[in-house]
Order: sequence, then C-alpha cells, then structure tokens
Amino acid sequence: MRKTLIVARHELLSNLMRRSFLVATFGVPVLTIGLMLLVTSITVQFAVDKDLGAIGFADESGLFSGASTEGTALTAFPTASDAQAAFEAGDLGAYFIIPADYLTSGQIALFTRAGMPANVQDQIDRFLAMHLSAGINQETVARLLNPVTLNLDLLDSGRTIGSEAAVALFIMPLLFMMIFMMALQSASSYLMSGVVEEKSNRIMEVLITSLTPSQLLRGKILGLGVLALIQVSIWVAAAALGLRLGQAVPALNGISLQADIVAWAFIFFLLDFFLLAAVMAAIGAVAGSEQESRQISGLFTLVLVLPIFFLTSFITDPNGGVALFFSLFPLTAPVAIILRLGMTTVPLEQILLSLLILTVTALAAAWVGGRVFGWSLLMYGKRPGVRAILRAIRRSGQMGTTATEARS
Amino acid sequence: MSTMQHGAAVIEVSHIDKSYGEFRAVQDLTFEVRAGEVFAMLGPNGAGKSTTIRMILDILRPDHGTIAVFGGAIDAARKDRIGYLPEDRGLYRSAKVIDMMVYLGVLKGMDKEAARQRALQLLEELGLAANAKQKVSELSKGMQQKVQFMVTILHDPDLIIIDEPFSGLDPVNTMVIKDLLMGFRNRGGAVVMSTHQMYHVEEMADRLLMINRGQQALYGPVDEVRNRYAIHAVQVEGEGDWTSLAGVQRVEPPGEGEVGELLHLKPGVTSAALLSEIAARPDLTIRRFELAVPSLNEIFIQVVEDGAHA
Repeated sequence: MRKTLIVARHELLSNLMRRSFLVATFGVPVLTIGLMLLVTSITVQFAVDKDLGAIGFADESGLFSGASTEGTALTAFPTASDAQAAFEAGDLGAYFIIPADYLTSGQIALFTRAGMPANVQDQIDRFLAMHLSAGINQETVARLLNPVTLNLDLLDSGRTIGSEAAVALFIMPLLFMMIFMMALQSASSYLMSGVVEEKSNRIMEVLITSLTPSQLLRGKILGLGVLALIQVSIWVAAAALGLRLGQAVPALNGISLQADIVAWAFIFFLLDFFLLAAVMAAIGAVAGSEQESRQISGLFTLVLVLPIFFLTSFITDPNGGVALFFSLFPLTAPVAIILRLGMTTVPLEQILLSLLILTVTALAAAWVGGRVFGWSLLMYGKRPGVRAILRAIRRSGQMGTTATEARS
Repeated sequence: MSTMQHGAAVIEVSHIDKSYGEFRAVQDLTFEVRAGEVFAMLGPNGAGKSTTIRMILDILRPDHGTIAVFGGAIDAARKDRIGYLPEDRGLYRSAKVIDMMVYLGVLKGMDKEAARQRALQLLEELGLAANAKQKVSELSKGMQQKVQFMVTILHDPDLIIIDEPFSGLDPVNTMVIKDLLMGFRNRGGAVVMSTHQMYHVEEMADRLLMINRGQQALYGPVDEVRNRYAIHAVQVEGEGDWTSLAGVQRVEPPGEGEVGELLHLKPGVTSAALLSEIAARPDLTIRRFELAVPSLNEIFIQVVEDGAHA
C-alpha cells in the first residue's frame, strides 16, 4: 500500500504542475465566467441604452390618422419627408413609415442610426395594435399581444424555471456532461501517455524491480483519479458561480446546479474513471507508441459520448427506450444518466441498476486491464496481437517480454 | 554499506530452465554470486543473459529450478536491496533530476529526506551538483548515464545488477563508474555485470559465467578460466636464437600489433625448466617471460565458435 501511495502522490503532483493541466483547469472556468460576465454586461448595457428618444412616423395608409400618441415616444409627421427632415436634424432617434398597403402587407420601414432595441419594436407593435383594435377591450388587446407568460414547473424534479430558460433544460446537462467528460478524458489520457512514456524511455524495467505492476497501476489510477476530482470540482464550482453571475441573462434565469444531479454525476464519474483508466492503462502498455495509443483510445471516447448523437430522442422522451438503453450500457451510462437527470426524474431503480452494471464492468475492466498492463510492460516495439492479449489475460501473474512473445 | 559477510552467497541459482514456446532460452543453469565480488555474465547476443537476470529479479519466473537471493526466494524487501540498471535504460525526461532521484529512491524504501540527502551527495561526488534542479532532458547523454548509475546505487543496495555498464560512456566517465563499482565491491557488495567488453571483465571481474545458447559454457574465477585455456607455450621478449633452446619445439613470430615470440614447449618441458635453460645461456637475454594465456576475448570467440560447430 505504501508504494501505491508513493506512486499516487507522484502522479498527482507531477501532473498537477503540468502547464496543460493548469491552463485547462483554470483557463476553462475563467473563460466561461468571463464570457458570462461579458454577456451579462452587454445585456444590462443594452437595457440601459434602449431609449432612442423620440420616434417619428408618417402614415401613408390613412389607418392611423388622428391616432393618439399620448404616453408614447411617438410623434406623427404629415409626410415621410417631414419625418426624414426631423430625423436628419437630430430631433428623432428613429422614424418609420406606414405604407399605403400596410393592412395587406403588414410591412413598415424603420429608419434608425444604429440597431433597434427590442422595446422600440414593442412600442411600435403596441401603437399599431391598439389603434387597429379600436373598440375592443384594452385588456383583451394587451393579452392578445402577450398571450402567455410561461412558468415551467418540472414536477418530476421539483424545479421551476422561466420560459426563456427552457432551452437550458438540455443545454445544462450537456454542459455538465462536457465538464465531466473533459476531466475524465484528460486524466485518463495522462495515465495512458505516462505509461507510454515509461515504456518508451525504458524506465519501466527499473520501476518494476521496485514495485509490482499492480501496485504501479493502482497508484497511477488513484493519483490521477484525485487529479480528475480536483479538476472537476473546480469546474463545477466555476459553473455554479457562472450561473449565479449569469442570472441577468434571461436564458439562465432560474437555472442553478442541482445538488442531486451533482452528487449522482460525481458517483458515475468516479466509476467511469476507474473503468476508463484500466482500459487506457492497458492500451498505453500494449500500444507501440503514443500516437497509436491515442488512436485506439479515441474509439473508446467516441463510445462514451454516443448518447449525444441521440440527443433528440433524449429531449423528446427522456425516459424512453433509447435513453434507457444508453443508461444501462456501462460505457455510455454516465453521459446518458446525466442528460436524463437534467430533463426528467429518472426512476431510482434505473439509476441503481445502471450503477451496478457500471461497477461490475469497472471491476472486470480493472482485472483484465491489470493483467494486460502487467503482462505487456516489457514488450517494446511491436504491438501484440489480439490472440496474444487473450492468452495473457488467461495466464496469471506472468510478465511478457519482447522475447517471450516473439518466440511464443 | 553492505552488512553481508564477505564471500557469502548473495544469489544462488540452481538448475533453472526457461522456455519461450519451443525455444529453450535457458537450460539447466546453476551458479552462485558472492558478497564482495564482481561477477561477470558473458555470452553472445540471445544467449540467455537478460532472461537469467530477469529471472533473478523475479520479472520472469523459471519453468524449473530455484533462485535464492540473500538466502531466500525474492520478495519485496529483498528487491529493495538490489540496484538494477538494465541495458535499455531511461529516465523521466521532463522531471527535475533531484525530484526523479528522490522518487525512485523512495520507491526503493528510502525515507524521502534521506533519499534527497543521498541524491545530493551522489550528485556532488559525480560532479553534477549544479544540475540537480535541471530537467533530465537538459542534460547531456553522458550526464544522463551518470544519473542512471546514481539512481542504481542511491538506496545503498547490497547487490548491483548492471547490464552493459559502460555502454556509451566516454573514457573519463567509464573510469568514474568503474571506481564506484570497485569501491562498492571492496566494501562487501556484490556486482553482477553483464557485458560484451572483455577488457572490462579482465580488469574488474573476480569470477565469470559464460552462457552460450542458454547453457553454461564457462564458470569460475577469471584467472582459472584463462589458465584453463592456456596453451603449452610461453611468450618471451628479448634477443637471441630461441630455436636453439632444447625445450622449445617451435617458435611463432609475433602477430600484428604483438610484441615478443611465442615459444611452444616440447612435451614434458615446464615453463620453469625453460626459464632455467635461458638463464644458463649467456647468448640469450630476456626482458619479459610469461605464460601464454589467451585473452578472454579469444576464449569467448573460441567458446562461441565451438558451440556453433557442436
């Protein structure tokens, strides 16, 4: 155990100080929060500067002649050229012309120096609607203009969010899943490239006279597991902070990280890490080079995020057959469960069954990966074939060498 | 510092076999390595040296036979008493020299601070103190080889197993490493040295084992092995007509790069008798007189060729 902990500490500290790790760990949240602040400040700025001042209009349709502009920023002009002259003189922030065929075309021409804030269109919409519906109850008109203010009560998860934040229903779990997958991917790739380096620079033969291959593997998995946890904790904390700062953004209003989702995600993340780490260590030990190991590991990563390709199925039916299949398949379970937890309440028995399958698979992967790892540590150059790997899995405790496999 | 009794068996290999499929890499090999000696392991490429070393280190297991290290089957504690430098060796290139040495020392059971102090001491002794905080990749090849050697002896092992110790080293560094190895041996440590460079064996080794095709070809003290291959002749350097000596059968002129004639003696004539005969002859003068013993290199080639024809 002592040597396992020595390796774990070494792996943790040496990777913690890597420039790539520091950039990813602190750069990603700083960038995310920075973007959030930027979007928020732009939104607030836009809200402050929305007053363009007086807005003129010329009615060529005759539908609005004599219409009252009281209580609005609108000023009527007899002709389009009068409105244009006032605009050019700087008396108006914008002006619009209601053409003769407005009733049939619905089109008006708006002239402004810069963009058009949303509230200007609101004012124009309201003015036109009010005067077209003269004689109808004004409350009815107001309701026609804004028939629904949606508050989404997700009874399954007990959350309430605004209608503008509904898009976050699937964006949030996606973001959340990305955080975990990135941490998982970087930690397991550190493990794999570490093994490849130790093999290619031939220090492995010295290492295995100091400790057993399983001590080495356990130490690496433990150290890099802690490293991944540190990274993912920083990212989750940054995401929570970013969401808090981003409450001024309508799309994020009412959205926060849910404790239950975070807890389940961490559990699935850890199990998925053990599964992936064992696989990556074995790939690193068997592959002839880092490039080759990355190609093989890329296939595994693709499988892990397979549920993303079926996102539509998850959104339309988060408890349906496709979602259930991916939730129970061990390699895709973490991504599928996190996606579903963000959208609906996943039955507890499904989560527990998924965890059970994932745990059994992770243990099996650790066993198989450990055997392949130990067997292939001293094999250099040529990548062993599938038959040789299967033979190694069946044989207990034997270490292979380039010579043994060349002759066997 | 070794606490082993001088001459005590450090490695006892008894009738080991190792096969890879149909190929018998090691066959019925038996030998022993003792405290306070440099033990050379010789043999052509593919003879079974590396397999034997890996079996001693428990990296591979013999199919048959037994290996005892420090008086018992190898375990974690016994492994920590061994310093091993394989032929294919490397270091963590992106690590700082001192950090890497401490890590490998701690893995060998050392206390972290003790490992740091010992590493700094070795770096000082081998003239690399100023490089302690440099990355390994920033060192020259020769410096890296010295660091590799330092890592091997960092934890003050009782047994050093070293494969081609001088490969790639310049003459100065070769001398430094040689002195360190001989100092280790003189303090009672055991050195197993696998090499192709015979002059290092002649210079350093007390005993040797030559393996050919997985089998023991020669085993014993270096001088004894050389004498075993000695021919019935003496090599002399001096002036005079050597053919006129009664005890000489024929005279062989010096080969290219050699000095002195080779005098083949008649059956029954000893080298001492010939020396007396020369001394009694005022017309003959000698500056050098020694038994004609072949070099280890010649013996090595002869053994390998005999093996090939067998």
